[in-house]
Amino acid sequence: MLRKYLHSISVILICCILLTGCWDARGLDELALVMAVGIDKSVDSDKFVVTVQIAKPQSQDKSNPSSDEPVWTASAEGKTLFEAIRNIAKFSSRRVMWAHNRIIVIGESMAKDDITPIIDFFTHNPELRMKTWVAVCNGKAREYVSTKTGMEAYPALSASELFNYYELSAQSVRTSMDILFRDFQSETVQPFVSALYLEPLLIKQNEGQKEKGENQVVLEGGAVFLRTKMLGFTTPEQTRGLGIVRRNISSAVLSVPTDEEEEEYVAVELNSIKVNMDSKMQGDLPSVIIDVSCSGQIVEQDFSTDLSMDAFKKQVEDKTAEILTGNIQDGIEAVQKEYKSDVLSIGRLIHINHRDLWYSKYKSNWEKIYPNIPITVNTTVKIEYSSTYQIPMNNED
Amino acid sequence: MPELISSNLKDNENRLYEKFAQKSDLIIRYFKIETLNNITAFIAFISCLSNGDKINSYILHPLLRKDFSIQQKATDSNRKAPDIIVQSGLLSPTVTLTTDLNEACNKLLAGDCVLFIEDCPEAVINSIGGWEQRAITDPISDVEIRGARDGFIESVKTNMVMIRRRIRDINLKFESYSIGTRTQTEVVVSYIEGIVDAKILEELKNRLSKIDTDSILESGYLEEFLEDAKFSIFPQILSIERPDNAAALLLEGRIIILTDNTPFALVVPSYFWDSIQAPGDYYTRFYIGSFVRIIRIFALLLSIFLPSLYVMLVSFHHEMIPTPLAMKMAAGREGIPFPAILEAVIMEIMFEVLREAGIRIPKPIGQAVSIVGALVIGESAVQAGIVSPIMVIVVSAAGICSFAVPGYYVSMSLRLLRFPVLFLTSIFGNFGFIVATMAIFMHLVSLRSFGVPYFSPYVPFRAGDVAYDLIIRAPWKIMSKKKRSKTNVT
Amino acid sequence: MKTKTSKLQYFSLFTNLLYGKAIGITAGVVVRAVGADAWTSMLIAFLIGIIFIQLMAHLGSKFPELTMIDYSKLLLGKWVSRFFSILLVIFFAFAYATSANTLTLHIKQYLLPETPTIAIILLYAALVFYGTSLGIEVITRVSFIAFVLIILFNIITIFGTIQDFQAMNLQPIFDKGIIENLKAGIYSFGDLSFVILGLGIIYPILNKKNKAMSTTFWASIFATFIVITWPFIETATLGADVMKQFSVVCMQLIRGVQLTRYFPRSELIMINLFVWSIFVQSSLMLFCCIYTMKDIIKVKKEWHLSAPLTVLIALLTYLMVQDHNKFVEFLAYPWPQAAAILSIGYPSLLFIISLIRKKKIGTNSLTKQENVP
Repeated sequence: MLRKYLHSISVILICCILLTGCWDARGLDELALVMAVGIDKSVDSDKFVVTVQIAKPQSQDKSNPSSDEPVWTASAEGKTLFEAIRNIAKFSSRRVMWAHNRIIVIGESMAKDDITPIIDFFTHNPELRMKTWVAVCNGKAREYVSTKTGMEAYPALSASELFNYYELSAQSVRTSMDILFRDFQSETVQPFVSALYLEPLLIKQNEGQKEKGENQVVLEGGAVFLRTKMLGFTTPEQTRGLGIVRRNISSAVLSVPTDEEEEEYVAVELNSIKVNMDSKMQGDLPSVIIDVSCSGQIVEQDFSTDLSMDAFKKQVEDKTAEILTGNIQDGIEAVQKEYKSDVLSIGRLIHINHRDLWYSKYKSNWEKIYPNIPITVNTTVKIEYSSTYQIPMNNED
Repeated sequence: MPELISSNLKDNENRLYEKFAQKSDLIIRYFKIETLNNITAFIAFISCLSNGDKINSYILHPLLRKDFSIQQKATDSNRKAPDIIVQSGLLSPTVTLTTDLNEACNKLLAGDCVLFIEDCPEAVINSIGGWEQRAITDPISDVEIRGARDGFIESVKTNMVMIRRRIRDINLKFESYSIGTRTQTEVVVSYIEGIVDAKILEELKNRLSKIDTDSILESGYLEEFLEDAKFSIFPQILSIERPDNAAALLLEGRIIILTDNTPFALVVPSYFWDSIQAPGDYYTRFYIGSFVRIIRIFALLLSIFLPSLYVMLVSFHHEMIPTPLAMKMAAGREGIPFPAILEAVIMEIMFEVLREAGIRIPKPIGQAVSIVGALVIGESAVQAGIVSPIMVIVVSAAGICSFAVPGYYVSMSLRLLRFPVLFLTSIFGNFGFIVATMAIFMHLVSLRSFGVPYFSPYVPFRAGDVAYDLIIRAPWKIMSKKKRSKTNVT
Repeated sequence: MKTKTSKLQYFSLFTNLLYGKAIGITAGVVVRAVGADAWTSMLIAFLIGIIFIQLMAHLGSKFPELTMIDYSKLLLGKWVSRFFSILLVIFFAFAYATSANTLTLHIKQYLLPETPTIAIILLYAALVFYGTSLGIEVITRVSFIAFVLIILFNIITIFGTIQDFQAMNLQPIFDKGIIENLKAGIYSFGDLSFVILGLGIIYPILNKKNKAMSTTFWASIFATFIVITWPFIETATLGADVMKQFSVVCMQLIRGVQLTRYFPRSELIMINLFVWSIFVQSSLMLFCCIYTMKDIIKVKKEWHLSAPLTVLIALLTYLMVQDHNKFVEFLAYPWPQAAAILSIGYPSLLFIISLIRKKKIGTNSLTKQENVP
């Protein structure tokens, strides 16, 4: 008896709901899939400029390979970021969909002004992925988004793939939206974002007359922020040091000079770089010790040596440690003394280790205290093997 | 209300002719038994149902022979004649006596030959029925590569033989019922005493006795009368066509119901998981048996959910698709005039039509239709830009998947379920999908087949049974101990 | 109650009753109070909650075949117990509404932003009504599946977030002091009360009551472990400052989970794994509500009561969630406080009275057992 009524009730109920329609249904072919977005702020007109790279689905028809560009790049202006984004809809025939966005490029002018609207837009909206890469570019983001770069069908894919191989040269960090958001929200850590350059690298073979090649997007260096504003860029070497301490870089391939005068280099591949930070009270100020340890292997050696393997390894270990320490110290020098931005979460460390002092003394004027904190760096490198070689390359009989 | 047989032979004849129409296939033959006081008698039989040879050799020949050596001189009356004839006259193996004319008529309809004797209110029934029947062939709906090649046929007697031959155990019982006020269909309940759950058997008998219908033409009729939840979309009673399967299920403690005039036997109680288990699993090596079961579970799930999953992804949750795949899907949908849901429904219906046509079409044309169907639906629709290629893949994959499920009728039910799931999904996206899935799941776990949970042994969870004989078909050495007690747990 | 369930299903009920709302919304509420210490605060509250769960199980073991409603009549008398029954109906109605709205928030904010809330709520209410009308047995069976799925969910989440895990985000422990942590523990009672009061009604369905106390204990310990994993991972991965920002914290965590590059998003997988658990939670709350209501108003056919009640509760659900922020604020005040008072006070009251009236009850309960519906 119950079941009989139950069915009719639920059928009526469901019909009531269903007859009104499907609210969120949207065909994949009605959408413009944004692959990359660049955000600028034009200095003179004080307007936001949003540039989007939208993928055009390639026709399946094999007999008629379309000669069209695979992407459609568009740009719109607005007084606020949201207005600019909404203005794209004025001329886009399809609804702009952000879910497949791979990379967010922030123009230099925008970054130096205020990144709050960007952070808000890309975290407030559930459609957007939190693992979208974020980078600050040198110059205008618009150029980066409209450049045809890399080997992939969609330039944005090429650019975003750079972030998967950044550790090879370890001259940049990898920032995704969730990491940026976490640092942005945190009181004790400042954001440190990867940086992009445009460099004329690709050589066009057909038109040999051209002096310079086509521009390519290069991932190199980092951008230091203090709260909402970017302060400046760091060099690739500084970025490597900072990336290691921020635990963003955990492996790297370095060229290590064993002898500076004769320009003899070995390439060292470092794995599992581990960082341990600790703080001690020294009088009134805390001091911070950063211990970096890593293991690695020698992968290239462009000269002959008569050293034994052990001695050679020792020499390389020392030199590598020296370079790493140098990089890290350079980086710390830049962010601590030059930019005065706590990207290395030193404040958090002090908070954890000396909670009472933090609340009573440091928290209120941390920005003044931070540049004066002594930071020491210890690096230990362990070379485990020399790739496939049993003895170092030598030309002795 | 029994109608007594009269002592008058002529009266009996008239009444028989009255019951069967005058010009029926009822045949009455008079003769005199010379060796027994020269009494008059007649035999009645239905010409098409009875075997003439048997009548000759079992009844007529012994009775009419001159050397018929009935020593006993008939005394005062013919009252004892039937006993004498039964004892030393007739050669037929099964002989019964009756005083009820209606029973005699029923027996006539079952193909028996009835002997009436002058001045005697009893009739002798000779069970010598024998009519033409189909030869035993491959089961059609239940094909196995390895395993016995015989399938049940339309004769319940032959089917009983096939089971008996496999289980030579005196505890194997057959109980016969005749159901249907008009058809009087013979229904045989078989079980192995000692293994079968007495409660379920009792319940089954109870339900059989409550059936009130005039006809049982196929076991499908019976199935609906016996089911617990009659409005459920899932068949709670399995129908099988293979005697080897029947024997295996009997050994598990199930009850097999054989129905006359159909090769399909019913299994009580049945579980949902029976539909993904095929008898062949137990004949092949256990790795293969287990592997195909896993494949079937995937097939089963995909056959319900694949179209809905596609519609859900392509029109609601685009962000879930990996970008390269999203590009491909978008490219496929480029220029398609229908929304994904409509496209899916059209394709699904076309597929079902093709399937149904495939069964109905005479074999010689079948080939042509399937080719045309595949061409029209697959190639041309895509070429014409009406349907996206991925949709064709999805629908045909789901269709193929549904055929990979051994229980044909379960897979039919699942195919029907595809539509409500698709419908809810097209309105609420993933949420509708979950709601539909949960409703199906809850319905499944709430179902019972003769008091035993239909989703057993997974829910309620019995680790032993799940581990040995659900998804994995364990080696016989391990399973043989476990399997015997499987149905005794409720 | 006639229906019986096995120990395993009973075990799985605890995790499901706690899980759904605690992992996302409660975690957010607690984080806004104590920051990175959300997980310790919740852990302490859960351990305190286990004491009351044990108390409830203890009361249940005294009246093994009676529900809380039945034995409260024996202990408190007809009218006092009826008063509490009315309170419980209100509690369970609100409990259903908060539980259902947890799902509404997930769906509405992350999956179907343009679908009207009322449609989502009605569809869900229809599903829950179907579940409850099939009986508690079916719910416990779903509960077992849900249990397996949430363990899977936890494992996937751990794997998905391990690369972003930063132990630094969890430190320092007890940053705002233990007292603050304890105070924030009250928020967890919004969830714990589901188990404490729900247990009073579902306890009799356990088929074998030997070792029921220890089963209950381990089930609640396990549930605590499964649930606490969430604020722990959330804080470590997102950081307390990000967590504060969102009303449904767990979905924000899931937004950042990338299971290899082939599954760029996992919201959908997660919702699918998680809905089963929240369904068990809300349908049990609805079941308890209908059960308690049946005691107050006698009806001939169950659906005469349950159908209108479900519609009313669905409307309550809708009214509650119209403003998402108000709803989450409601889960910080006054809901957990009220739930805590009821879920701590009522069992304690019953317990104390059962101690006082020990002898009298002992004989009474034996005779009354026959009359249980």
